[in-house]
Amino acid sequence: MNVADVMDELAQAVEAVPSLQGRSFPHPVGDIVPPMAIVPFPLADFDVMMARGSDNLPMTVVVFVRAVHDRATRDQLVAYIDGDGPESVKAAIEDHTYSALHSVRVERGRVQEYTVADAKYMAAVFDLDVIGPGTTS
Amino acid sequence: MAFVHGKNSRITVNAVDLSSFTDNVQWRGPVDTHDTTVFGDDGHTYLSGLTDGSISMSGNYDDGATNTPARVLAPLRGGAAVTALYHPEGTGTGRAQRSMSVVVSDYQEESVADDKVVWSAELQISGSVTLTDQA
Repeated sequence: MNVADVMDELAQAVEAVPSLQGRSFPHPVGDIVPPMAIVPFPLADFDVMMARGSDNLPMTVVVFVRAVHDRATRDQLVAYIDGDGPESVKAAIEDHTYSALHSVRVERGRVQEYTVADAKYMAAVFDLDVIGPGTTS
Repeated sequence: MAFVHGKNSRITVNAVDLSSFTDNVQWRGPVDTHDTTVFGDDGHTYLSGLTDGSISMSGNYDDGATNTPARVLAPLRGGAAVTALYHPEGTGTGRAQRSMSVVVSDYQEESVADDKVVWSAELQISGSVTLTDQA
């Protein structure tokens, strides 16, 4: 798999979420302007199949929102974590058509607090299992 | 001399290289033994007899239209014997090769809700196995 292409396609998939359209980045960013999504750098598990047939990429997608502990923030975060619905990140990622990978499954979503440049944010973090070819061609 | 990693192993069945869909190959080569113990012996003695063998293989299911385990192995069930080549060290001059005639005695696919679809197959060896080095 071409990892850059995988990161690009995942960011494109997240753009299907209405509140994240135009706010999804295929790489970490320095300035967080919520709501926004990023695709951090993945791990790479090589040689899942013989003869470089397949690799696994355990990856994450992170969706940042304001660090305000109120009902509105709760509603925004859980809408991203919902298994389906217009704001469901799992549905957006798994419904997308990919060319850079064979399959992707959003295994779990969780909420955690992030600090970036001394500013606090709440984030919905999604763990992905990406399976694809072991070669880039 | 050096140890060998399995990521480079290769398996070909009916002239189709299935290595890139495979994560496990087991080649088993049992031999019949016949007890020749007689009076006066302190321990059992044996005579080698007929060889037997099988290959177990498994891996990730692929939805390709051709040359995948589902397209190659499943249709061979109940059919004539075909040639299998197992290269535990990978391909290359001087590397080990096990060549044998096999019949597909079992082919399975398994779907689990939270994991990838996988396949497995059992190949019954028919006749003897030729152990050589690759040219």
